[in-house]
Amino acid sequence: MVDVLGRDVTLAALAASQSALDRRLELLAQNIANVNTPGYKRRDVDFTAELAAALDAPADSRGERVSNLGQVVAREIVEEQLFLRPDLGGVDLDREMAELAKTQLRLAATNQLLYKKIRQYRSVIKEGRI
Amino acid sequence: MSDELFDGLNIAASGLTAHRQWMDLIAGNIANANTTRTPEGGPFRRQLAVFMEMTDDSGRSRGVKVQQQIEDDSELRKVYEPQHPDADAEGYVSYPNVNVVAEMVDLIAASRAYEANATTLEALKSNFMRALQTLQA
Repeated sequence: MVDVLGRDVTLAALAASQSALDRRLELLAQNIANVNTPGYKRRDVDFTAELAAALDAPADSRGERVSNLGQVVAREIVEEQLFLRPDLGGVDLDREMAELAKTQLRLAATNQLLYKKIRQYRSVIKEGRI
Repeated sequence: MSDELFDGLNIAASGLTAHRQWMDLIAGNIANANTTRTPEGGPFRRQLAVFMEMTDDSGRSRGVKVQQQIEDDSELRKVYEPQHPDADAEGYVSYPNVNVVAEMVDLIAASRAYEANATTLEALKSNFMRALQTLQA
């Protein structure tokens, strides 16, 4: 049997970006919770470059591309710079809220695409009915 | 940790708790801005919250907590009131080192941070709800 899902590059890319965005949301929650913690350094993840590289990397088959995407990890970064004053934390609340909104929108988009993708498979399984 | 899935929600909840605790301390400071008698004796002293980031053994984020509550040991406010029962030999009464205006400023900061954490909680929740909807595809 052909492994259809194992060769679906779109599905793999969506899954990779969904899990990285989930992690990002968690780190933003941590930043916001520590908005009044002195000396706290803000965290973030960087995955867009790695995701793009995994999508562009030369691969012999779709299966290989999918496994490349499976290895994309959300690299955690710690920003050394403290915001405003050294006795305050490194968190600019307004910036965090903007990042939170952006991440939420990206997640909504990823989710919508995943939804469509699953509907597509369902439609194929049901031979186009419904 | 057992429920990694809800880590984000727990972090936002810890932020809500910590900032509510801070707001409680501020409320206490304002309420006691003129208190000259305490169970421990002496006038009330301004209470401060010390925030600390929480992480587990592997360095994973766990939110924030009020690690300790400390007393502001700055100088007390001296007011000349010889008739006051708590006046000293020279007729001065020591009032708490609470500056109500400064407390109000702190209260705004605390309440803004509380709102931000509530927004985060809402964002995380709606993300879960969307994921559930995807499962209904």
